[in-house]
Amino acid sequence: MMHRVDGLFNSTDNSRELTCAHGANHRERKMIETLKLIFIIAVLILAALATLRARSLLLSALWLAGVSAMISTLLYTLSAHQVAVIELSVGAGLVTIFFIFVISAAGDEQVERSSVIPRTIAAVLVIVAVTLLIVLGRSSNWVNALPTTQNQANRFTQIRGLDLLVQVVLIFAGVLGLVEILAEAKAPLDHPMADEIAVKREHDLQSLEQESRRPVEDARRLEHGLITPTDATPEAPQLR
Amino acid sequence: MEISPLVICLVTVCCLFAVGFYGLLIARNLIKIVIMLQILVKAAVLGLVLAGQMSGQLNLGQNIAITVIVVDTIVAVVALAFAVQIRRQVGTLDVRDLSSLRG
Repeated sequence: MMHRVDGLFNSTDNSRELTCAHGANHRERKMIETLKLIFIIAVLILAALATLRARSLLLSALWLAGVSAMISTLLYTLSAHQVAVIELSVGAGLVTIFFIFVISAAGDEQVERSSVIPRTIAAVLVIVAVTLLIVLGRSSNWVNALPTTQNQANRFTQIRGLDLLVQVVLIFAGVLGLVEILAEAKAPLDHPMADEIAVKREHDLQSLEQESRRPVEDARRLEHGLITPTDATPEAPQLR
Repeated sequence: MEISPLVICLVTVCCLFAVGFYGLLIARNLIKIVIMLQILVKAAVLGLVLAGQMSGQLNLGQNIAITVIVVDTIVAVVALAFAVQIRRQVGTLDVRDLSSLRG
């Protein structure tokens, strides 16, 4: 199966056709490529661990961008150029901007060290999950589960109309989510909008009536001697 | 002993999966949970491309990986929107405090 793979993996079969002199050179080149791969992967895993360990959310988001950048480098090394470009632009660019925007909107809370699930149980669960992944990956021959003929692959790409439609709907949902992020917080209304307006108008009308009635009442009080002329409003009419 | 690049990449997928899953289990902050989910999905994307490489159908693997990236981005945006709204309404992003709320 390996002979069908291009990029990094086809070097194994090519080495058989080389002469001894070229063979040594080829082995050296292969070792350098392997070392390069190991270096990329080491940085990738270190960045992932730093994302997990970072106490500040902002630092965590920035380390995640580093993980995306290293994954796109790895994908490029594996000859998956299209995914590498999309991962770099979307994963390391767009999503990081979203994260930074949301952290600035929601506040950079310090992440608590204690967890909901005890760490020992979490570690055991992770070991079980990874073991299952390895065992199922080795036993079920999952590579052969993929369509092997080009025809099936073409068929899959041709019926991507539905797939694209779903993606459009998802992008629409994403835009709505973004609007939700940008929306200002507003206190919920106690009544329907029409009732709120009617109550506000009634309140304004009452205060207007009180204002217009105040000079007449002051004049009455002045006549009965309840208030002094200095306390009365200047507009108070003289009653007879 | 010579290690094949394929084995190295599969070990990377397992490591990334482990880090993402562990973070998802122990994280208490909603934004941190979304970040860990991103790492988990990146492991899946790498696995899909590797599967495409191994079966000789790299284009198919890339197609599915791109779809997964788009869906993952949308999931992240919607989840972050929820997180912001929860922060505004409740005042915290801690899942322990949120789980004690009663409707």
